[in-house]
Amino acid sequence: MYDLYISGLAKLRGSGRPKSRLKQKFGGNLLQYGPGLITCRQFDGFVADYVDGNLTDRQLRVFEGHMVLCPMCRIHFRTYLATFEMSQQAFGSSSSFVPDSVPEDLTLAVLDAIGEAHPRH
Amino acid sequence: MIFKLRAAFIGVNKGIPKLKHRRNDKKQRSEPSWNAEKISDLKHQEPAVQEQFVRDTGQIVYATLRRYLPCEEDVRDCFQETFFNAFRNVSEFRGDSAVTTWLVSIARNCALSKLRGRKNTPTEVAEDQNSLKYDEFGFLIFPTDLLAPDAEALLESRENQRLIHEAISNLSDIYRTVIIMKDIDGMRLAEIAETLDISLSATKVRLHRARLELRSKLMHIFEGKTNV
Ligand SMILES: [Zn+2]
Repeated sequence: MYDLYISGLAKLRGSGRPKSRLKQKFGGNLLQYGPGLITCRQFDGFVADYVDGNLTDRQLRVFEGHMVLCPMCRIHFRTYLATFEMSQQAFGSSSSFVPDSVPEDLTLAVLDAIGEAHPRH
Repeated sequence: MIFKLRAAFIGVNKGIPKLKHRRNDKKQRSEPSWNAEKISDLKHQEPAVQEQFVRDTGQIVYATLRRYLPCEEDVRDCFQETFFNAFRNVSEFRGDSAVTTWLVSIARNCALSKLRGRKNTPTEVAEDQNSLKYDEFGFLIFPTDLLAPDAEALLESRENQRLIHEAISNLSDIYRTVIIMKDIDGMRLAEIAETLDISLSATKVRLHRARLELRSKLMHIFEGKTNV
């Protein structure tokens, strides 16, 4: 039901950013006052929670509804998600930029310090 | 229905399941057979056993410190301090987490206090240049000529891997720290809030701003190479 409503709205006003000022004003008001709709600012407030999986079903619905209607937020979200995913994967096992060996002199320094601090009797 | 929307506008492969936090592979890979019982009398063990412990677990401690600390000298200091503290407090380790998890948290705390002790470290997040802009009707102002960037595809390039590491290390300490804790080490928000001794909502705000800041550093990658 909800996505019919959203796709109806999208058809009505187009899913791009409205061209004329009048339509922009109408579009802005629609997002602000329309039932089940959120503004771009509210959308941004949900982005992190979406990525971290903390949205309720209802929030998820309006979040995704906004994305259908708003191309700017769509790109905002996609680049945000890609940023998150890139950091998530950047240090994974496939990454060639993760240091994997401890310098030997460092290991030896630690062993010396431990030997001094905890001498065996 | 929700799924249909998500599939259409986010891309099927970018749904929730993919967002489950992967703990860093490296962290689990070399989980040795050390456990609470085995390390309980580490202090009084043969040097060879102690050495084995340091060699088995050193890599994960080192990698953790390298993520948090940009300065190699600090990494070395903290590496020694981590093991020093671990040996000293080994009897307090109860075995309610893996030995490596315990070591990593010692290393992390050491790194954080190192960062805190530095001069010129902003403790408060100043107003960002990267905060989002809105027009008079409340629409987000954002370039819309980008296609959906595919992180996985982008990371296949070695150059991009280098760029993301560079971008993360160039973040300010407080932003880098929160990104590492949440998005790389996979800590929970509540854990992070507790570790940093700030409120949960402040943690969320900081994380969001950190990601926006990192995104602005990655934007040229997204612009240069986007998938269809
Ligand atoms: Zn929007």
